[in-house]
Amino acid sequence: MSLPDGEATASESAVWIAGAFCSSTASGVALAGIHVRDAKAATENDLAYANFGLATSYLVADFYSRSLEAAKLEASTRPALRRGRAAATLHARELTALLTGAGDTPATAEDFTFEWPVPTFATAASIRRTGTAVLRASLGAYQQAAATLTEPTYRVLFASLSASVAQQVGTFTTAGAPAEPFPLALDLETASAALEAFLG
Amino acid sequence: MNTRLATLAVALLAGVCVAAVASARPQANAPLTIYAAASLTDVFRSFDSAQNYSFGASNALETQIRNGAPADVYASAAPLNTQRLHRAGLVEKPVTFTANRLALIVPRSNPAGIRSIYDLRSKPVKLVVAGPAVPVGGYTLTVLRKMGLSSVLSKVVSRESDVRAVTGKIALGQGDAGFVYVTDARAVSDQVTVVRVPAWAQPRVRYEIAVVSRSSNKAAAQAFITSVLSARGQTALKNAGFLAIPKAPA
Amino acid sequence: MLVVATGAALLFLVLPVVAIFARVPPDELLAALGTDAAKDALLVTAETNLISMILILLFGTPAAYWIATRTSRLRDAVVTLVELPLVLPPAVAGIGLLAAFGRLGLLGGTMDTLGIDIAFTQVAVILAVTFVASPFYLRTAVAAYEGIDPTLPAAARTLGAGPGRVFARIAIPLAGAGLGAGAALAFARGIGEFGATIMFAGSLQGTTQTLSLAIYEQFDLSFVVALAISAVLVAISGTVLLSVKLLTRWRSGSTTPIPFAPTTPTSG
Repeated sequence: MSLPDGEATASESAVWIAGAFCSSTASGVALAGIHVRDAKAATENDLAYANFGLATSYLVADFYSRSLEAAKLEASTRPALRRGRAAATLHARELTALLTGAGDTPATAEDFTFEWPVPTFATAASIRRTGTAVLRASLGAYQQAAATLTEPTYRVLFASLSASVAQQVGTFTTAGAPAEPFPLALDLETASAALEAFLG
Repeated sequence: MNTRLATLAVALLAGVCVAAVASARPQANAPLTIYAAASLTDVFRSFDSAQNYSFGASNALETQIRNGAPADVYASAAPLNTQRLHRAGLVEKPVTFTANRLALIVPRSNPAGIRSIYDLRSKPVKLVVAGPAVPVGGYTLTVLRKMGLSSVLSKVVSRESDVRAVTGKIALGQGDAGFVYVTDARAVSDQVTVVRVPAWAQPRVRYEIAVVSRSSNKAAAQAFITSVLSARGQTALKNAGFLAIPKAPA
Repeated sequence: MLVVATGAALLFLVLPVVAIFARVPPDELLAALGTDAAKDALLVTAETNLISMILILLFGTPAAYWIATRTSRLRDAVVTLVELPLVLPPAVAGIGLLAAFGRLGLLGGTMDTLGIDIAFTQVAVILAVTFVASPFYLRTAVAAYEGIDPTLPAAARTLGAGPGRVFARIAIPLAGAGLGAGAALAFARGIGEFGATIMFAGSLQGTTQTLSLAIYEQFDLSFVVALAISAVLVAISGTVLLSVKLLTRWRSGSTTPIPFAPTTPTSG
């Protein structure tokens, strides 16, 4: 959709800023990860969020890849999509390290076969809709984790992940759409149910 | 009369000797003895009905092979059992031939009103699982741990000896819910309802198959394994609800 | 040659029993008995079989007397019926119990309405054990009652004793040895029950896992514990066998017409 010149530049800058934020968040997460890997006091509930987050990160990365392939969104969004995919991959790596450090056997990308409904990548509107839904569900879970997990370093990590995902939501909302004032935290049961259609 | 007795005795002895020699020599078309995990009962039988099968819990079969059971092929629902036998030199190198997923099943009447795995935590339920040494029992523990629901184990009323016993108890309505493979749920789909275990909580289920070292019919045993790995075998498994051989992780 | 045949047979029968005790050193066996699995199994078996024996004796003693004192052809039919579980394979017994008392069984709906829930409880174990063990008691008890010299109860009746008194004060004491032997057999069968129990009651340590079920689970977990539990069962079974023998020997002297007379029997 074409925008007047002034707003186009503004949205472009927004995308750049978002991208910059994403990369710095990613490196921040990497730093936080060093502490997370040492954490051993995590409860089972903590690790449940990590397992969910890991699967969701693979899901999001897959979604970005397919969105790029489908090439239905504006060309200007492509850098944001690529950076989103990079962020998701880094999230997955970080959560894998967390789970391994806690003695669990984390899943790998090959363990998942994601079931996207056929019309998902057919139109730009459908991609935006699905992207928003998926990111909002994962954001909700990360928010809940950031607020309630017992292990403090995990909370820091999930707060980072929440911030990163919240910025990515912007990629899929149209320029005129208002930002959500209070995105909802979702417990694992709700988030898992919301993503069941895609995650399986 | 003495000569008649003697002739009879000689004939009997001769017959026994011939039978012994005949059974000792491997015969090309003699049926193999295949020890396989209980969840493979329907699919293996329909895939190759000419063989002799002994289905049971993979850990029980492992113990039997360890104690000298006359198996030619061993197919297990968990790598642990085949790898242990391989390390002990009792089976040749195992190979992965299929995968599976876990599901929660409830009786059709759903007496406990279980609609999601999380309901196990909040409602009173008679939960039936397999024992921890049984592959599906171990996988169940993994699922519950990954979901943060290990507390649900306090509602277990019976630890069954193999997955078919769990399926049976739920199909008969004795238990309120039980963890089995999706393939077992299909076999009793008219008597149970399936509650999905989310993909992010699924354990890595790997079925392995191997030739038993003391088999007297190794060529045929290897041929059976090859046929299971072939397109025909893999299609049969896929049609029964099993998953394709997973790619090794990068 | 007879000696060789007997020797071979004896060896074959005795070796597995000896092996249970000889396979591992006795201190390991005793240590294995101290594990939770073994202790829980012992408790569950003791509780369930005690209640089962009480039920069998309570209902079986008068029932066997009733059967023994009938003369009609009905009696033969009834005897065959009560002996049926004897010839049923335990797995069939399990299926039968499920079909009758399971949640989807014949009585399942009724029990549901009454609020009775026996699935996976000790009640289920007790039912299974009672079902397979009671024929042993009934059969031996019937034979014991029939072995009573008929002149004795008849004499009691002519002296004015009612049927109840005859049953309680004459029949039971006279048949006592036989009843005891029957109870011992039923007990031995009960503690060894496996198939019907695992199908009908499931297996959970501390609730429904009896000694036999524990052996089955421990068989590939810890062979030593399985051996230890087996040793306990062998010891109990051995004691039962011995007591049956002694009781039977005692019984052969207790129903002669004049119990306290010298050994030469008199007719009459």
